[in-house]
Amino acid sequence: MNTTATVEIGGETLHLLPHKAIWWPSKNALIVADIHLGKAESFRHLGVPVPEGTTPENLARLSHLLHTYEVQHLIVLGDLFHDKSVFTDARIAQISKWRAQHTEVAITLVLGNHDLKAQRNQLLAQLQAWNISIHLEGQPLGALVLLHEPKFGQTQSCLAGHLHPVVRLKGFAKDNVRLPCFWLSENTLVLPAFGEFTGGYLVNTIDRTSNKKAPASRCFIVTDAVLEIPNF
Amino acid sequence: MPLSSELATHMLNRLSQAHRGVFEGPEMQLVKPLLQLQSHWSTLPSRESLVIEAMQSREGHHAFVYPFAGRHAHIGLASLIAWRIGQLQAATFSIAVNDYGFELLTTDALDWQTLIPQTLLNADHLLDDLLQSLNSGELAQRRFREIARISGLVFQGMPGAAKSSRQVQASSSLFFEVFRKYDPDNELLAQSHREVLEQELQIDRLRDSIKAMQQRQVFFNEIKQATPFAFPLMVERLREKLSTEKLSDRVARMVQALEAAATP
Repeated sequence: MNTTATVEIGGETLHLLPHKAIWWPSKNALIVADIHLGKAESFRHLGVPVPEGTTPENLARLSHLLHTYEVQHLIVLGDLFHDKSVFTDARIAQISKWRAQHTEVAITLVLGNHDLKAQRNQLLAQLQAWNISIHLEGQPLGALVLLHEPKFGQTQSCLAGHLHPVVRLKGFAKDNVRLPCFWLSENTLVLPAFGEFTGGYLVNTIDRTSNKKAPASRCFIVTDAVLEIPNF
Repeated sequence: MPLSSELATHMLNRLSQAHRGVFEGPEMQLVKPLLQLQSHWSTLPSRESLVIEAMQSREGHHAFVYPFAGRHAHIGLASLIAWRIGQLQAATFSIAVNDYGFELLTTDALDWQTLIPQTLLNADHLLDDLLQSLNSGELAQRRFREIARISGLVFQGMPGAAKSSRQVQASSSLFFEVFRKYDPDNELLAQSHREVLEQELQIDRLRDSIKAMQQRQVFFNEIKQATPFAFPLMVERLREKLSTEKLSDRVARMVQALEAAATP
């Protein structure tokens, strides 16, 4: 079975991967959004006992993808970091080690609202140390505009994150599931959140009886395969 | 208010009387037509009989069982047999319970007549099977919501006061997932399992009611339409879910149904 889906946007062919990432072969790039590194640390800092392990797992999943697709470029559409809590000595060391394993990959970040919760100087210094370049939000890469917060209805095709889109699917026998999705609406393709410890924003409920259609949008749900919901 | 098992016993006594044609008191006179309809379309449950009804509808394949063991015991029994059937063949169940019985609903046809007595009237490995069923269902996750609130994982704000921005937010279901994956031995998770087992499923009562049911004669009826006993279960909106299927298979089936609906 084919586990990925492809979508044509702005003349580019993008492969939607079940790993909640996009493979963009013509640019030899992988695109992810909303990793929220350090979110668990942020909760722990505020006294909420969340288990450790989500940040290393996020990095391991990224490594796995980078090895599988052998790309030269990783694009993060914002919220790579959750907030300043990620900049502890231990996490910095961990991320540095991870970065050193992928020196051949250029990393580009579109700054998201969560990245900007870190102290500006510290953030910029770390990005420089890790050789992560900043892509100005709204600037195109090839035919596609890279965004963090989606702007719908632009004339140019856009890629964005921020929403953490999920969709609820209802089936026979009162079955229903809530799953992350890629959501293509009004020329903007919104990626699901890549991070392990991230919630979701419900973009639609799809019921086989009441098929409420959003105008000109497509939806691809993510399980261990990416499936397009027909007639979304 | 849930029927206690004692009250359920008295209900069964009354039904047993009705089964013999005795309708004592104004209440029994009032429900007489319904009980007669029940015995006409299917079988009237009684102390001596365990009634199972199977029905097919647009929604899927239904099985109704009337053990009269009380609401909590029914949640346990329904989860138990759903999980046991799910081990024989992967399936997804929607479960409804009330004071006198429970319903299992699936998309695929199952041999209810064989499977239900086989999985229900068996008290072996009860605790193990129940624990396993907890992992495939949502009971523990629901219970965790309360635990997350009390332990301060999620904060819903003081009554009438807005949340301050310092309070970090995540839903209890997200916490549940993260704990399950990254800290499976977490005490709070263990507590949610323990509370479900002790307070909701009540394993001793479950074992007793399984033993009691083993003494009853099983009546299996295919029904064309919901009987008076089945109807309230069929329209019950608060339902449990239990799945032993791969998520991607479940989703593929739902997408197929959508495709079928989309093609004219």
